[in-house]
Amino acid sequence: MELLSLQFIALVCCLVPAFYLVGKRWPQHQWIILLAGSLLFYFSAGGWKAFIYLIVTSLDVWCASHAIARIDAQSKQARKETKDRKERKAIKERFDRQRRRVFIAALLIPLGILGYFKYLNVILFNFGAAETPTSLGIMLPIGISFYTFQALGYLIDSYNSKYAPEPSYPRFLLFVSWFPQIVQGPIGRYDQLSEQLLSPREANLHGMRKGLLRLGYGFFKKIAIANVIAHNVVYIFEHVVPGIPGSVVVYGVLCYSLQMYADFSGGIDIVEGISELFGVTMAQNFRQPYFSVSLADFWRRWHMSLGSWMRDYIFYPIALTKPMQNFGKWSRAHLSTHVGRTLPACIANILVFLLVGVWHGADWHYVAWGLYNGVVVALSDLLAPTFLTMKTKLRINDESRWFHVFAIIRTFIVVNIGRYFDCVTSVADSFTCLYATLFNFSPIPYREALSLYLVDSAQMFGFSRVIFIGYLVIFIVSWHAEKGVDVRERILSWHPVLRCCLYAALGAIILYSFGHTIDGGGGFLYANF
Amino acid sequence: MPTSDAPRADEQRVTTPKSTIIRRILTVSLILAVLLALDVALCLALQPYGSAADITWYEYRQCADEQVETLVIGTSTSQDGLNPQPLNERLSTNTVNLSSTCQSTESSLVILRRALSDHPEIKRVLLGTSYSELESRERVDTTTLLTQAMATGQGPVKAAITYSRLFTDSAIGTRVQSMAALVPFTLSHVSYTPSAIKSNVLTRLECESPIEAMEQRDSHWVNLGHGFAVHDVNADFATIPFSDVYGHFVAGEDLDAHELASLKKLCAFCSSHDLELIVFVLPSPFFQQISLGELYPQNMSQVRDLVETNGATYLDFNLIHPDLFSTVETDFCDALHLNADGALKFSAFLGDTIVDLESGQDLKPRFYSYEQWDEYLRTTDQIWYAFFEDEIVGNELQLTGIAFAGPSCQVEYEYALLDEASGEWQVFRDWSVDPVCMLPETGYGNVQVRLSVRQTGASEPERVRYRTVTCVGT
Repeated sequence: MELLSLQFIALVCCLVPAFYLVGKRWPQHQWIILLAGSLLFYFSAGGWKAFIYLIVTSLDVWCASHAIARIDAQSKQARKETKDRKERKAIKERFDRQRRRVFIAALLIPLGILGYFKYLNVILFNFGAAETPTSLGIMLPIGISFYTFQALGYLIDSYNSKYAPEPSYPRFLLFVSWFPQIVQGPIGRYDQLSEQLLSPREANLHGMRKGLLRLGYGFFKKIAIANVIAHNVVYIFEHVVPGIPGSVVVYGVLCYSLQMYADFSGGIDIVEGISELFGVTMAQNFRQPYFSVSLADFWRRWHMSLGSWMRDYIFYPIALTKPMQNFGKWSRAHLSTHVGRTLPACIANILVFLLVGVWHGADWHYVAWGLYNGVVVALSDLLAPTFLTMKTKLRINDESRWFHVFAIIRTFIVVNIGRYFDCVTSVADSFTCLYATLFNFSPIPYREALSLYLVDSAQMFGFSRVIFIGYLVIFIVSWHAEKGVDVRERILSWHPVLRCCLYAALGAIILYSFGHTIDGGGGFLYANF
Repeated sequence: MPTSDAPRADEQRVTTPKSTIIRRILTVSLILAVLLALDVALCLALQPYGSAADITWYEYRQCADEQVETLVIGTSTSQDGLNPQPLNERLSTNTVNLSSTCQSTESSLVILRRALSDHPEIKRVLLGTSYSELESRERVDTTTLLTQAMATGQGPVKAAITYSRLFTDSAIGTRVQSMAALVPFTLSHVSYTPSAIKSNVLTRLECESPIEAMEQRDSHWVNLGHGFAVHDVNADFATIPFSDVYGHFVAGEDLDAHELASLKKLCAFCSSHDLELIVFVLPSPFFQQISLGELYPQNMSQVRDLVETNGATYLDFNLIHPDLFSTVETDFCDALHLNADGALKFSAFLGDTIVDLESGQDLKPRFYSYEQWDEYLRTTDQIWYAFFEDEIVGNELQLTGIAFAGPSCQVEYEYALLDEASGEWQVFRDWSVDPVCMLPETGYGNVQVRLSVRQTGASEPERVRYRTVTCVGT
């Protein structure tokens, strides 16, 4: 079952009334409806094998969290029984070793499963033990990255004694398998999500209308923009040749940028819209990323749940390790205070982005993409005093509106340079495209260059109006959201006739695009991560 | 801490009055009714009136009171490749054809069930299939349009049951494309211009039946009644696009597992209902089989084994001995379908074959088996089809010739460029067995290229293909 399909719609249409009807009679058991729906969805979407992996991961993490809590209780009890400080310290160390062993063992199982599916074939290929990176035919279970990260976040929080373990496995399973988000996120935190999933709630019509509006907006982005652009992007970057005009590459990268945003954020809007039908508010995952003023700012606005997960569970643990702290001290002593303070964070940043790159796929171009982002973020931190000095000398007011616009455009360019390593599937071809952009931009007229590299230029130009309208809609909504306007509330406060006109116009664009891209659009880009 | 602003049910409950609940239900129902009405109106305005599926099921409803003993189901090859007259004469039967474009075997089974409940006298089922249908995943668009045609004329409850198939069929309802079932006018529509829409609406209002609408739209289409129709046009193999050749568009190496499972179910259904089932493959141009190479016998033998193991008869008319029956270029209207002449010729032969089958004759000696594939290929010694592909290599355009011919043919290729100024064809690569050459043109622009193919030793080309290619240049 795919996220946008008749069966999925039927599932949601059955679950929503069932959820609230059960809530009226047995509010304490309302969550069971959500669990049943989530498991049914995952079983149908992924098959029984994928279902087993989900159960194994969730059971492993749940059992481990209880084991860790039991060890803590035993440690506390044992330390209470002695007054000797040295003995208490020894007891604590002994129990700490035990809880560390349990934690590491519990970590290895889900990471091992994830690693097997994502990387085994590629690793074997690189060692000559497999014919191609996909020859073993290992199929990635749907949503495995997202539910693994979500479960591991809970495990790490339990290890850090952030909260008591969930006593009921089925309730914990609901947190891991919550169906709207399991396919492509956002990655939820236990303390934010479980309360909403497990506590009984009544129907809130206004909330549901907002959810439907968000759902519709997600549809619009996915169908009227992402699916329409997809074909052009694929065709351009599957035909990278030494003489490819830079104008075609830039067009392709810009299309990819828009496609990526529309597809991913559209999918998240659909996920969050569906969740809101059940009164569940998920973590925000996108915050107008193309209004970012720096690359670091961009990554605080794009795929925010992954960014915060990496920050809390990878970045901080790396940056705060003793070796990193010692390295920082050494740098302060031998280089400068600023460098000493910043360097550990820079190294941690590079490692995090490298990890994010590898998570996208076991390909060198993703590694290059991750490294590029990590290095740029690190350099901008390291060179911050230099930039400040330059701005002072040039009397640039970085609070001014013009500088703000400049920073947005600059960030957009920096982000899109990174996309050269994202949308092009070989590092060599990425550099070919970069070279073409800089030194071979327009060897032949632009329109003719595009028609050479696109299958149907008439269709492409015909759709450019749809894409332009779609882009305009996203821009207007994002602009208002950036100014702090609750766009959905604003729309819901309009006169019903005006609202209907808006829905009709956007609906017409969706239907027009849907018919033309029905075979090309397909699922979501992040659904197979 | 809850972050949602939805009220919790364990907080102080405010009971919603019954009248408010009723009002809400009525409002939602009204909105849904309006959307449904809008959907139907858009379907009527935008979907072309007189589609093949419309006509098939219109004709089927017309013969509700007739005795139907033979039912034809299957893909478009059997939809427009058969003529009922010679078939009915030879079989002394009344035949209805419910084949349709890209009809999946699952759909064929659904249709058979429906036809059998309407006409319990059906005793013979002819399933016309093709390699491309068995190899490809069930298409959502054609299945949705077929379902829509089947539901037309039914009451609301029966229509809802007919449509429910789109939800429950795991090959359809689980896919993104299935959303189109809610808005079928996005799958098949006239041009989104006021004049085209107006013309379509007027056609719907003025024409007495979808048959009349189709006849107005396509002058080569000839209705033969009872769901049978043919195209009165001859294919030109020199202009058939490469995208229509099996070897180019088949998706993978294996047949679709869902199709095979559905075929098995259909055989079992016929067996349990005492229906004679004949699964047959209509003849297609020889180059289609050549283009697939070993894939054709490898995969179609699976189909043969499945059908025969489940008690039905399998006949692949591509492998019939040429001295008994053969087709020529003028029997086809395109790369896959027989035209009017071909349909008449084939239907008579099919009727005779079925008569012989039912009288107990062994038909196997009349056909090559898949195990005799090489022998079958040797029955032809001509070049059936030629094409060339272009690919950017560095800053040049590389041309690669493709020719589908009998195994005894050694093919030679010649390339020529049209000189726009003089209108003359200039040969830039003389006859050679090497199909590959580089286009000598530099600079950017479109040029006309001609590929000629012949057998070694021949003086004249056997096939010629013209194409416009775009030079890359610097």
